[in-house]
Amino acid sequence: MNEHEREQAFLAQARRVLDASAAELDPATRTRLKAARAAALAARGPRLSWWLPIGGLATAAGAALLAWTLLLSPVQPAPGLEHLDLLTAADNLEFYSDLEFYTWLAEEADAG
Amino acid sequence: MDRFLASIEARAFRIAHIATGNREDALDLVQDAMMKLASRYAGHDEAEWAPLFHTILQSRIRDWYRRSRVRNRLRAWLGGEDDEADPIAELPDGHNPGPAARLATGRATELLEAALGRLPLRQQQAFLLRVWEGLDVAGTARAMGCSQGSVKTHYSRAVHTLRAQLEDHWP
Repeated sequence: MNEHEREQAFLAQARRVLDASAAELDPATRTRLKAARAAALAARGPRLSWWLPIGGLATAAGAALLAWTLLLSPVQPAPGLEHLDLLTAADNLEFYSDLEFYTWLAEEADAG
Repeated sequence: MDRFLASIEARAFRIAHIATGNREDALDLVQDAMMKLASRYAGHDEAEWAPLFHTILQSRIRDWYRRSRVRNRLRAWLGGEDDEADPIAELPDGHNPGPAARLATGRATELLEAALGRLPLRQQQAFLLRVWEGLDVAGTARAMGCSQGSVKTHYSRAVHTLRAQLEDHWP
């Protein structure tokens, strides 16, 4: 057996000895380790719990930003809305088409 | 996660026990490592759990070692004792399994653990992680928080010392 083989044999023996020592732990220590494991798993909690407050804050910040943007931006009337009173008026549309004539007529009457 | 922790807890305890020489401290260190792994790394890939766990455990052992050294120095300063004493050798051995357990465990375990306990902490860590946990040099370096060159040096010295002490005496 050469030097390398002797070293490998020594390491294999060390591994066997350590494995045996772990396998032969006393029951009290095993119980304590089991309890430690249970405590660690219980402390883990739901995986998403970290994200809940972060998600809530992000949503609130987004809503605030949207509200701030809408409040500060000038209101742009939709095209054609300036004629909305014409479209919804009860008067005959012909009245509005002759509005210039009626205006002139009224001015002439006032002058006369 | 439960299966993984169950598969490594006994070895983790032995490693912590060899490092501290104290059963209660070893149990605390293993529980701390389990807690941190479960609370912070459960979402990681399962293949990463073993190296992460050993990184955490070795970090806890080093912290424990530093605290023990400070405590022993303080004790030595207050009591006038030798402050160069090995903190591990100074600690009371809480692991006293009694005659029956000693017979069951065998003299080989006793000899190996005693020899490992006498090694400097870094050599002990390098040997156990490489030989027992099967980590490669890079994984061992990550767990120990040092360079790969340091791991090779510590491991080589540990093997040399242990062989010199045990090879001719193991049953």
